[in-house]
Amino acid sequence: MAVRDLNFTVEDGEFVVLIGPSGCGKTTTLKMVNRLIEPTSGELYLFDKPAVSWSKVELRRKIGYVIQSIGLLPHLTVAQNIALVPELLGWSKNKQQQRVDELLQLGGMDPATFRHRYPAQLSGGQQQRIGVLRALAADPELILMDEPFGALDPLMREQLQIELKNIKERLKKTIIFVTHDLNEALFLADRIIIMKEGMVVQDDTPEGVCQSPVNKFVAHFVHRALSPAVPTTIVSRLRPERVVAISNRRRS
Amino acid sequence: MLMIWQQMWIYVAENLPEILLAVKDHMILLVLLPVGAAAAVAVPLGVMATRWPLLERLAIPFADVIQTIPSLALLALLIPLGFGIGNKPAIFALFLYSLLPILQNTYTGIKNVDPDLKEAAVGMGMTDFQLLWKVELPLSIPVIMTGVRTATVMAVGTATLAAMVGGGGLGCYIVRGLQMMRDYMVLVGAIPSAVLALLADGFLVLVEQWVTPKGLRLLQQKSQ
Repeated sequence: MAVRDLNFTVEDGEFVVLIGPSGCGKTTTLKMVNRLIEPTSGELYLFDKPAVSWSKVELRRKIGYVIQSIGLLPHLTVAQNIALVPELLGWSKNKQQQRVDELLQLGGMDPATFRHRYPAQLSGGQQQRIGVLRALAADPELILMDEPFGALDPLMREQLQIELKNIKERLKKTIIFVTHDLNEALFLADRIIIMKEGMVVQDDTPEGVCQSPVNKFVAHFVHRALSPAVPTTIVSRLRPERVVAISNRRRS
Repeated sequence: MLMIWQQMWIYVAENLPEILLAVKDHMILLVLLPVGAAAAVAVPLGVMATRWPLLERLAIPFADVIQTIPSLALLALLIPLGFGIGNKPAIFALFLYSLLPILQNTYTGIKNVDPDLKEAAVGMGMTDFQLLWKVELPLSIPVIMTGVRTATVMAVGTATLAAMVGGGGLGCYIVRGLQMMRDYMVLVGAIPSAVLALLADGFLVLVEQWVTPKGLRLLQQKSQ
């Protein structure tokens, strides 16, 4: 069982990050929100109504969805990909195109250049930028993001994190974001939910997670994320007292 | 050796209208008609097999079994089954033969669409029909077309057997030539059917490229 004991509420406009080691149930939790996976027991409320009272299709069109493998449709242009949900919702072509241009500008991509390109003609970073814009297209109240930047190189990842944060602050969207990278979580989140083995370990603000971890697991998690890339064992082997000794000798 | 070619050309020159008629019968009656009908049946059947497990377990093994029956035996079997002799049993046999490659390729084409892509599409609120129509079918077109191409090339060759059960097509010259022990007449049937198979293959390669969505072609080029 991927998720065992889970209890949390996400408020309007909150940026919540679900984090934990692989297999902790974070992706399962996310997929329960757009009902790609149905819980075997318990209650799930979405937009103040029981999840089961929504039609799946109607519900999903109200929720933006971004995944790590991006999932742009290769046979559709950038514009058609972005306008996917508006198209499903039956928006007029005019309104769709207007929205596409608006979003491309928001993502810092020139509409005239990119509108008619195909996913195969874009870099990985550009593709995921389109993936995020696609999730915003129908102006959903809630956006789910499943390790959206996990497959990108560090530089691109950082840039998209900054852009996402800006977008979030401008558009005031409710976002549930899954990652295993605590640095990413600390940068983006209003609230972090740390999971382990299908259960919530700590549900707190970024400051709370760093300053008062509830147990060793969280403390270790935080320590690993905040310490530099060099493992502590190697750092201790540098023997700082020896370094001082050498510098003394040089001075004399 | 020179004799046989000379004889062949003389025969062709004297019987050109009849030979062209045989080519027309061969390609339209014995290839286009049965393969077209098979595509009209096998593509929807292949799609349904990806949706309904029962059909998945029945349709593909059924088509497999038909494929294993030797073509001449299948033709002979159809005669007592009420198809009589002539083009009718041949058209039906070729139709049955064409089912498997098209069915198989439609089924695998759709099954092999990237599951992440399908999940993203469903997660954004596509209905099952929209998933099929907007995602799975466009992405399977190259694979489905390969099935149609395989079926066509096979049909062009197998159609020569129609003459064995009293049907038309280029096989008539092969059968007649064998019966009359005139090798050049066999060639009048054999060479055009081989050439037609190659031409049909080349033509369908072009059609395949033409019907493959542009974005998909770009992706294929990129991954090569």
